[in-house]
Amino acid sequence: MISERTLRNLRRELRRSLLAKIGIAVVVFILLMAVFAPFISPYSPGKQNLDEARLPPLGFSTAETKEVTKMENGSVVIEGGEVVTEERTVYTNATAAHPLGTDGNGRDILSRVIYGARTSILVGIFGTSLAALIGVLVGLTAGYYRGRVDDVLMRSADIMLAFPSLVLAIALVGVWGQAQAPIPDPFVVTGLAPAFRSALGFTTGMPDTVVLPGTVIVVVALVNWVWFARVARGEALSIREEEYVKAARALGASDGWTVLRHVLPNAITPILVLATIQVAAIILLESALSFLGFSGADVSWGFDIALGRQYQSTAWWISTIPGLAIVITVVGLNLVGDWLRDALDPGIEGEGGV
Amino acid sequence: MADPILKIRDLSTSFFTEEGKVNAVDSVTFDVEDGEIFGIVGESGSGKSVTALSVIDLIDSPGRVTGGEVWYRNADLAEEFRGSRPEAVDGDFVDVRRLPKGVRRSLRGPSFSMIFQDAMSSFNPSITVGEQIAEAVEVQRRARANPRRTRSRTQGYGLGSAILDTFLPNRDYVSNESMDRAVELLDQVGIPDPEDRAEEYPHQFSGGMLQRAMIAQALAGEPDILVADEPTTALDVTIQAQILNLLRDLQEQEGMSILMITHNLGVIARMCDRVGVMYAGEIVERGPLGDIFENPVHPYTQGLLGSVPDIDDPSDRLEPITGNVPSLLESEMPDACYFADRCPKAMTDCMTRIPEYDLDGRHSVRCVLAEREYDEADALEQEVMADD
Amino acid sequence: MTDPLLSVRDLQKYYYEQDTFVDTLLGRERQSVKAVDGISFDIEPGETLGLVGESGCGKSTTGETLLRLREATGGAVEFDGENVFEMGSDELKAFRKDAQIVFQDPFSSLDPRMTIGDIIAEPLRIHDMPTDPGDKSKREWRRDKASELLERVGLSATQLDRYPHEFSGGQRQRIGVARALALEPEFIVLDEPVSALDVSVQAQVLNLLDDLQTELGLTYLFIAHDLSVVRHICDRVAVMYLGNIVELGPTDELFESPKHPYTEALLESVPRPSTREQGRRVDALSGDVPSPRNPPSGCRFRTRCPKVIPPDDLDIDQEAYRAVMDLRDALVVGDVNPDHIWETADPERVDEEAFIEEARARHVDAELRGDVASVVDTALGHLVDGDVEQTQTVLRETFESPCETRRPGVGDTTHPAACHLYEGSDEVEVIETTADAPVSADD
Repeated sequence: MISERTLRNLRRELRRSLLAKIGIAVVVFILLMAVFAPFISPYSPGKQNLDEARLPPLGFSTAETKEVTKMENGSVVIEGGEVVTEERTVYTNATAAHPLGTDGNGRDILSRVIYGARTSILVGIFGTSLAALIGVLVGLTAGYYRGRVDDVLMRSADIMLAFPSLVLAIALVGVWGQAQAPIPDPFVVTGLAPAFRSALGFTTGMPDTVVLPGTVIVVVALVNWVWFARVARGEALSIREEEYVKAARALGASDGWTVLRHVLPNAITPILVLATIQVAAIILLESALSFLGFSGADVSWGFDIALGRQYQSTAWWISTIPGLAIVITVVGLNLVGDWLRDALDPGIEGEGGV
Repeated sequence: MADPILKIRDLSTSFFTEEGKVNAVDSVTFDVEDGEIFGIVGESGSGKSVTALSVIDLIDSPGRVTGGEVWYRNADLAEEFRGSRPEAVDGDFVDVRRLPKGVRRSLRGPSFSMIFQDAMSSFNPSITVGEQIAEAVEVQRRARANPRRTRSRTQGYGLGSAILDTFLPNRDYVSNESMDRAVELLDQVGIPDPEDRAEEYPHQFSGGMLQRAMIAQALAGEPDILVADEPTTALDVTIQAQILNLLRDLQEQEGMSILMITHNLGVIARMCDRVGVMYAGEIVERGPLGDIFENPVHPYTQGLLGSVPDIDDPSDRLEPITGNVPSLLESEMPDACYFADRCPKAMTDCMTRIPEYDLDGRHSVRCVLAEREYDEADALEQEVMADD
Repeated sequence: MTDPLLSVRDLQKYYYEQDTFVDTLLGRERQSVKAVDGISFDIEPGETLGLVGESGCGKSTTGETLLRLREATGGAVEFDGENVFEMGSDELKAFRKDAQIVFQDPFSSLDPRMTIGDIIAEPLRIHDMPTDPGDKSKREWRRDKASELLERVGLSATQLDRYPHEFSGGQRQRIGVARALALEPEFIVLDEPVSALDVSVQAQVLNLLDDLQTELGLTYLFIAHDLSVVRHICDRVAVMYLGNIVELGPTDELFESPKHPYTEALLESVPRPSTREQGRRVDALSGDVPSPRNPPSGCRFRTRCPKVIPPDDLDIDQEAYRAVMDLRDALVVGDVNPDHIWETADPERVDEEAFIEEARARHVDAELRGDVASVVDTALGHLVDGDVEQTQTVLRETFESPCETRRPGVGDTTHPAACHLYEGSDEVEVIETTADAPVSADD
């Protein structure tokens, strides 16, 4: 389906644009990280160690002199009816064992960022696919049939748009609850990852399932399909006027045939561009839901930001690092979207002539 | 005969595309006499429109006029530049291409003006037709008051300018005099109720009316030479007849010369005094209308005339030229007559670049048949062309 | 005469504007656009019927409607004795095999994402053909058939796997023809098949269409705006104007002795590529084609007709009558503005007389005499107070033409013309109406 010319345009635009290169690098990096999490994650994302709580990231060690209650043999020293205090230097040393530090429960932030990418990517990809499926179906139908069908479908889409998406999402999660589907992690179940880890002397005990936040996926799709519907409808409206669509009908093709073989393939470019941008939007929405505690996911960037909120003044990294992960991913996806848009702009196709 | 108003000599224009250099206009030479209509006819891709744009210096990147001269008769300009740019002056003629850029631009309007095929896209949809014509008038008025310093609305870029334009859409640019003149021009091109129509937007005009409005705009500077690029191609025949009548009337009233570009041999026949036939970027034959239509020498001209069905005499079969218009990519152009591969009379002599032969001082042709008869013994072995 | 292959009766296609849900909610009345307004014609097997007219006259809509690519709003089309508009989906699919179409735009008529082979084989796949591919697979059979068709239209079978953008306009048009031929139809609608092509290529395609017709016994409906092409290829011609057929007849007869003033004007307007054409000044029709949203009453062509018929009791020459009718049309479309007349009227004498004089100078394009002049002056007098309606009434009372009260239709002869000039003969069939009934919102 991807023609030679399309590939050529993609390559040319990639050569031309530094931002596109950066975007692709970022997205590929995040994807690899998510896929190979059980191999590269230093620890299990759930492994707690309260002794090592709130360790700062490398390069941010602090040494602080504090007045603390003097303790002896496990009990408070009281002299003259007063609690004795002493001055002590409290070291919060970063350690190479936790390069990005640890959270309030002593869990390794790097591991949580790596595993959090899985949640984001899963929701991003499945959510976008579902949204695209619904939206493209509705949009193509509306645009191809026009008239009353179009009126009804697109007015409902407008109504969807009128709701603030986050509120709608929260309401839907509230109604449906938090259905989660644990899917066995193929790398762990097959023993591939544990073998690899023990061979290299890494900690083992990686979680053997990936949690697919089912409700969240459905909800983000229901909130975002409208964008696909609008784009698909616009394309369908213009493509249906192309003479090759008329020709197909004149040949006796059914509507389904015409839409699947002629309208959809010719509408796919803007839909693909939109999908790239939508993955980013959906990742943001998932983070917001997790942050608010509605997603039920316990390894998610948004959820971790929420966890770190109470330590914001003393241990900023707990929130900030997953936050940065979100920013980088979203920016990277948008750069890729821009690249696709610039390279595939239908305006570039068509006849060159002098 | 008096001196021509315009002498084009060896004008060449190329486009520099990703696929390579495309020679859209290849060493084109012709004259436009004072008060005549000179026609350039050719099929799509023959370079006729690019020739028109090259003459009035409107070629945009990736295209560039790569050579040749555009001699324009204008005694005042010749006087002005005789001292400073002697190479650009020859008697009363100036070579427009060698004049400074600002001067070249200031010639558009009072010297050269252009009308296009697609009137709808030539007008800004958000400004009234009257105002757009008045703007053209205003530019000329200011140019006369202060030559070499013209400004048009499009130069008012920037946020400040945008804000001012929003709140003061007219911003004193178009004066009342110019607006009155615009109404007069609309009246002159036969638009009914010009006062009211001037207040309307382009989409409120029909195709024919908009074409008239564009002509009115082109007349704003009272040009010496009007370049009409397929002015009636988008119109129906009855409207086409109106516009052709109008152009002829205006040409007689204003005494201007018209360079008429079209693919329609009928329009050429009705309007033009002399014709150039273009093929693959070259003028392959040129001369008075009668010579070209009655005694065409170039096999391409003959083929073109043979391809048009005659409305008054339906002969049984058309005699089309075989094959397709060639690509003008320099790397693919043969070192031979460009028409040789489609030519029914191609001979071995054709395998070299053909010069322009002068037949009788008026009629010239780029074909060896000007000098010799077709001889089957010399016929070029035509490869059976796969249809690509 | 044999039975016609295709018979069109009172075909009507209206589009409706302001017809969306929101418009209904807001109580806006929907507006009809009468693209095709009750036309009838037959096409005999093996002939080529030309359908000519200017843009917007409804010729392409006719072609698409009679193939049921658009739903008609009235009338009937019989193909081989069967009513196309009443066909169920199976019958319609069978009809599609027999009746095909070739479109105008060689760039938009081929799906850019399909190879030429796939494009030509698509009709076969849609109809699940062949039923019996013999010793080949269906796929191979179709591919062979596509190669055969490609060669039939003058292209090389080696180009089967290329994409449309690799071909020139003329070649693409040949591919479009090959696709239409794949189902071996009896009848093909050619919708401006050569309009987008250069003359030399146009001639090639016309010759190809000619050859195919002879070899395969095809019947064509040839839709075009280029009269020279129509003259060359058609056996009979129907001329359309604003949704109506105004004249229908054998090609040579129609071109050599046109009956309808519109046909005459159309033929007169065409620029001929010949030296006799040099400097020829055409009496061009004035004005534009009126909008099909609000077509003129009676004869659609009366607003531009150089032969519009004055009322019996009026003694007026044609030029003066046309000028008065133009004034009336200008009043209707609002091209007469009393304010502007005041502005340019003789400033020395700002009175009624000066106003009327200026109004006449501006809007009446001929010398008027006697009674006619005084009626027109009286009418223009009402404009002094801006009473446009009264002006119109006065003019209508004296100048109302039979052309505006009754609508002419083509009669049932071999060369009918829908024009009041032929009243009394079989060539015209007059439909008695005072005005076109407005389309109400609920039909």
